[in-house]
Parts: sequence; structure tokens; C-alpha cells
Amino acid sequence: MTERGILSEELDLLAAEYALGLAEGVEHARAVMLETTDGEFALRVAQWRDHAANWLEDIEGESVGEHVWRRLAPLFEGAPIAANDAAILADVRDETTDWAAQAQSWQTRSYLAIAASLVLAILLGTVLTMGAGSGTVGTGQAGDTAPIANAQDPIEPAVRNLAVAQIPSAEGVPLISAALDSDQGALRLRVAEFDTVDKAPELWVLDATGTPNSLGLVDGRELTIQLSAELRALLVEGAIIAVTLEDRETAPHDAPTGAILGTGELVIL
Amino acid sequence: MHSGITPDEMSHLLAQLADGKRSSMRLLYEATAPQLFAIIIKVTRERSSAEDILQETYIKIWNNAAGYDPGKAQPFAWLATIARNSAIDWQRSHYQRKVTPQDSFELVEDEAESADDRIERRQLEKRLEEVLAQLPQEREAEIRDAFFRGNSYTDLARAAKLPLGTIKSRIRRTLLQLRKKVGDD
Repeated sequence: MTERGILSEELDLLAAEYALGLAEGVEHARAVMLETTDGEFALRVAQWRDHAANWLEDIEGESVGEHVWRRLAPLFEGAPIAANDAAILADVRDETTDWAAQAQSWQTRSYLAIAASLVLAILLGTVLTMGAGSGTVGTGQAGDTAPIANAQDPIEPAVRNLAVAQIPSAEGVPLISAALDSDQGALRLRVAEFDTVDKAPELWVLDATGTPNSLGLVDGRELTIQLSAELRALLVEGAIIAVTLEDRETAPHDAPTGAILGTGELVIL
Repeated sequence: MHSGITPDEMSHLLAQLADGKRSSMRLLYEATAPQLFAIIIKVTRERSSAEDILQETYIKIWNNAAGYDPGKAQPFAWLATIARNSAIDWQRSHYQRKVTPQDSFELVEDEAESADDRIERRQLEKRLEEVLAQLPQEREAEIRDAFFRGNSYTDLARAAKLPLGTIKSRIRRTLLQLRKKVGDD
């Protein structure tokens, strides 16, 4: 929480600049950190986002040509496909059915949205300082599910091989912040709240062929995944990680069945 | 405004999409496409590309419907954000493809500007600021436009050919006026 209990004018301006997409560089990084650690700041960011969403709602509609729906209809109605719409439809279908291509597309977009290494470094600090109450999950391949660190075991980033990634949603809201300690084979996660009952977010890493490999369910807000040697080998510089919603009962899965909620790229620090 | 459908009905349609009921998309499309299309045009300022982006937006809505949380956002705000972000992504990738080597070296602030020119320009900017300060609606529109297009301070400074500091000061003064409204929505 903020020290004074209410946001200062300066912090409120930062919340506005961050929510509206004006903030850059160090200011953006500071806002990312505050949104994670300061509830009042996060609330104010949400209020600015809501305010901006009202601006979107105020825009007068434009007429849309019927051909636009005709191109979408085969996906949702099974309507016949017009010959001149075939190429566009093929693109649309590719996006919905080719998981690897979809992940790559998301990765490209998220790459533009993810802040530079300064942001990642701050995120790393945030994730690494998660408390001893953090949960721990196994991957189904690792075997060892014991927590690898707690508040009495401070991590020394300067001597560790570290990497970070952030997975934003389609709306740009962080879904998962991840910090990889390669030396210990531990992937520490801060996870957004997912409002689901029978499904939970499952994390994936794409190998060189674009095939997703499950890192397990991330069913909690703060978790540490103890990685198997096979999964460690996949988590290298530039590796793409992704999150989907999957059934709790049958996890881990051989392949994702849900749509990709977001992807991020692993950056070595 | 989107018509013929209430926020609750829209949330219900999103829930049906999340459950895999593809036919619900037609109703959602009919209720929201004109306004999402307008949002996309607002960002791209190009109608033909906006149609492609609109299709992509509905694919994303289908793919992400399970992630919609009625407790966190109004349904149309959620849809509008996806449309805006899709358009901004397109805009950025389109802009990057068009960047020339000369563009890469464009400076926001001209370091070689003479002292006289700088004084004259700052006086002009100050007068402009005074005039604009009396036009709060126009100033708010500037911020809205920046938001619609996903522009950062640097983008705005480059577009206005003004120093970054000048743009920041201008926008921040308006944000301080706006902050009283935010949270009362």
C-alpha cells in the first residue's frame, strides 16, 4: 500500500499515464512494479482504464459491409464460402487451428507490448521476493515438488543465471510474471486471478519445432515450479511460453486444448 | 452506442461463446460490430484494413471468451479493448514496415536549434498553451486520441514536432483536471 494511505498527485499521474499507454521506459517499469505491489495504485490504474473504456463506448458506430460477416460466418454458422473470400478465410482458419502459428502471432504482438529489460529486471525483483507462503507445483515430469526457497533463504541474483518473462492477456494485462533460476531449475510465477471453476491455467513452453510442452497447471497466485532436466533444456533465451485454460482433473496434458490466453518470451538477464 | 442488447445479455452471449456455442457469435456481432469497427477505424484511419482487423477481433473474442470476467469489466469495455489493441498492434506493425532509414534517425528535439529560434518557439508554445488551457474539451480530446491510437509521449512529441517535455507538461495538466472525474464513472 502507499505510505500515506492515499495516492499522491504524482502517483495518480503515473497511474493515468500507465493506464492510458503514455508512460515509457523507467516510468513504465515503475508503474508495472507498483501495480503488482501497491493495491491502491492498482485500483487507480483500473479506474483510469475504466474511464478510458468509456471513451471507447462513446464512439459512434460505423456501418460494416455484409461481406465482413460472410467471411466469418463459416467459422460460426457453417455457411457456404464465397470464392473470393477463400484466401481471407484461410488466414482466419489458420489463426484458429494452427496452435504453433497462433502462439508465434501472439508472441510477436506481446513482444511489442512487453517492456524492455528494465521492466523485466524489476519484475524479476518482484517475483524473486515472493514470500515463503508461495505454493509449489510439480510438472508431472520433475518429481520433486518441495519449495526451493523461502524468506529465510534469500536468493542472490548477482551470482545466479536468471531469466524472466511476462505473459500479457489480449488486453495487455499481465497474466503471468515468471522468473527462471536456471541454476536451481526453479521457475517462480506470479499468476493473475482466473475466475474458473473446473479449469485452471496451464503453462507451456514451445520447443524448437513449435510443439508445446506442459509446465503443469499454475493453479494459485504465487508458485514455484521445480523443473525436470528436459524442461530446463527448453527454457532458453527466446523460448516462448504460453498459457491456456485446461481441465484440472486430467492435468498435465500432452497438448493444449484451450485457446491461448497469452504468450511471452524468455529473456536472459 | 451498441444497440438492441443489454450488458447482461452481452455477458450471457460471451458466456455461451466460452461454452463453445458458436452460433451466439452472430448475435454478438450484430450488436457490436458497428461500434468495434468505428473504434478500429479511429485507430487505423483506414477502412479496408479495419475490416480485416475487425474479423481478427472476433476471432480473438471467440478464442478468449473463457477469460472474460464480468466482475472485472463491463462486457462492451472488454470487447472494445480487444478491438483497440488489435488495431494498435496492426498500426505498429504497419508503421514498422514503412520505416525508412531516415525515419530511424528522426529526433524528437532538434539539438541544433539556435538560441533565437528556441526562444521564439518557446514563446509561441507558451501562447499556444495559454489558448489551449481555455479549451478543456479540446485538451481532453487530445488525450482521448492518444489513447485510441496507442500513442506514448514520444509518439505525441514526434507527431506534434514538439519537445518531449512540452508534450508531457501539456498532457499532465489535462490529466490533473481529469483525475477528479476518474473513479466517479
